[in-house]
Amino acid sequence: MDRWDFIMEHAEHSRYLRPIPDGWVTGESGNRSCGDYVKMGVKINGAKIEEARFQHSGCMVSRAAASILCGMLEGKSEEEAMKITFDDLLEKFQGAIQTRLKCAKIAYDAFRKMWETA
Amino acid sequence: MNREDFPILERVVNGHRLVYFDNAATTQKPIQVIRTISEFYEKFNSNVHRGVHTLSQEASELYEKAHEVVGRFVGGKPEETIFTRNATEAINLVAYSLRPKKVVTTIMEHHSNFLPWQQLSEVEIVGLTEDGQPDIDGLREKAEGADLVAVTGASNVLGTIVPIRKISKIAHDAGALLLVDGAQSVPHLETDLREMGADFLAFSGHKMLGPTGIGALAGRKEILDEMGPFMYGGDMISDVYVDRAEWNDLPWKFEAGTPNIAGGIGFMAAVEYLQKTGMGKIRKHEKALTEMAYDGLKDMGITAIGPEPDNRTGLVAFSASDVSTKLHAHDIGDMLNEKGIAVRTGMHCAHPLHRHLGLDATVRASFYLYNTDDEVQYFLDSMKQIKRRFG
Repeated sequence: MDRWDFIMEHAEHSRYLRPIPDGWVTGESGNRSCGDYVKMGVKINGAKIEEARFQHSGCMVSRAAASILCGMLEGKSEEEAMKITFDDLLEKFQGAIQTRLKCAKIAYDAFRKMWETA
Repeated sequence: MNREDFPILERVVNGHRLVYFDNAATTQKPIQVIRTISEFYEKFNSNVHRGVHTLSQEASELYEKAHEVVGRFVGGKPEETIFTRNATEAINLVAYSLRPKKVVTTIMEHHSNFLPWQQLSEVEIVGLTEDGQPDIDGLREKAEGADLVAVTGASNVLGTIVPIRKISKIAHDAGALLLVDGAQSVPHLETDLREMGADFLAFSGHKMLGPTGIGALAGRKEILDEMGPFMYGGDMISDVYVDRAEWNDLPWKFEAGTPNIAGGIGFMAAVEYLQKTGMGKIRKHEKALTEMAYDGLKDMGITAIGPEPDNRTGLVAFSASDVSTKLHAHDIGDMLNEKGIAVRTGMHCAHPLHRHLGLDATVRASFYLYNTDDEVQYFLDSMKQIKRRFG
């Protein structure tokens, strides 16, 4: 298994890649120069994040990053979720995207924006 | 072509010998250029036009000779050759000093020959024909009443070699001046400012084997003489009073402050290297590589956007969607980098063009004199592998 198997495993057929319904807490980010766009959304039930989803266009790394982030969010409280750092996300990639940090950052920025608007 | 003159090509990237196909962004430097720059700092370093001492005299002579050599390379005279930071600054110099009211440009321009006019002038934009050429009829119509026509000599995305002589006639018949952005044409095609009928020609040293931070604006004396300075400061004056100043002669009027002396001298060494190799030979070599890449990609269903190889410089750019519905240009660039191949991905500082063509980011492989058939074959084999796995 090479790094692309790892990236594609998360990017392709992600169960989190679904339209985000109105009323969810959302955040968006993108990069016009590369055409990347990520929208992250969470459904908060009581104190917990019950479900996370994302919408995406662009590269496989930003897509894999958004998918991994969704997985990290579900089941966490808002306080716990807010503490997730970019390094926490990178750790999940196990060194697979060292030249593509900017791409992963698009997903992470969308995630951070969720808490600005919440 | 003496590939061994380029030390960086010995580099190993991700376990593979570097294949450098990002020449439209910047080129590698031959040892002759590197040595000239280090020799300048070792033996001649001094400010120019400032002193009577030996070092200053020698540095001034070298820097002035650089204007002569670089100017002559494009059919210009030393006093008509202004050193700038790059082609971008050369174009901005014209935008700020000439202040043309109405400018006609094309949709295929690099941002450097688009934004100055969008921001400082009233701008008319010429579209493209199906074969990636500027729409000449549209240009003729729009040139009426224009002060300046500003076009690229060759597109950094499509590779299109633009018919400058034809455009020059249209511009001049309409009473407009012509500026050519030569950043992508001067390094690859024999260029003569007067023969092509350009009033201004902007180009960058680093895209033609020279160092970064040095470029040139070649122009015509009678026009440059009429233009006011671009920047104010040392060296651009002949005399300064409390309430007024008199400007220096050309080209120094446009070179305020201590210039990039070592860069200018390195630029001269780069031009001498190109002249020694022969621009005709370089063009022939690039054309063969481009045909091979263009045809090889076509065979696997990947279409390089823009004209056929006969009418393009040494580059091919294509959309990721031709390779795979899943992948983005950056993913492909990343995969090629794993194999030691350096290509450029993105919109190549030409957002209006990409938008006009309905394209997102593209993958661009661009060649120069030190690239080889074997490298192009390796690139094509790598593309085939990527397409097989993700297509």
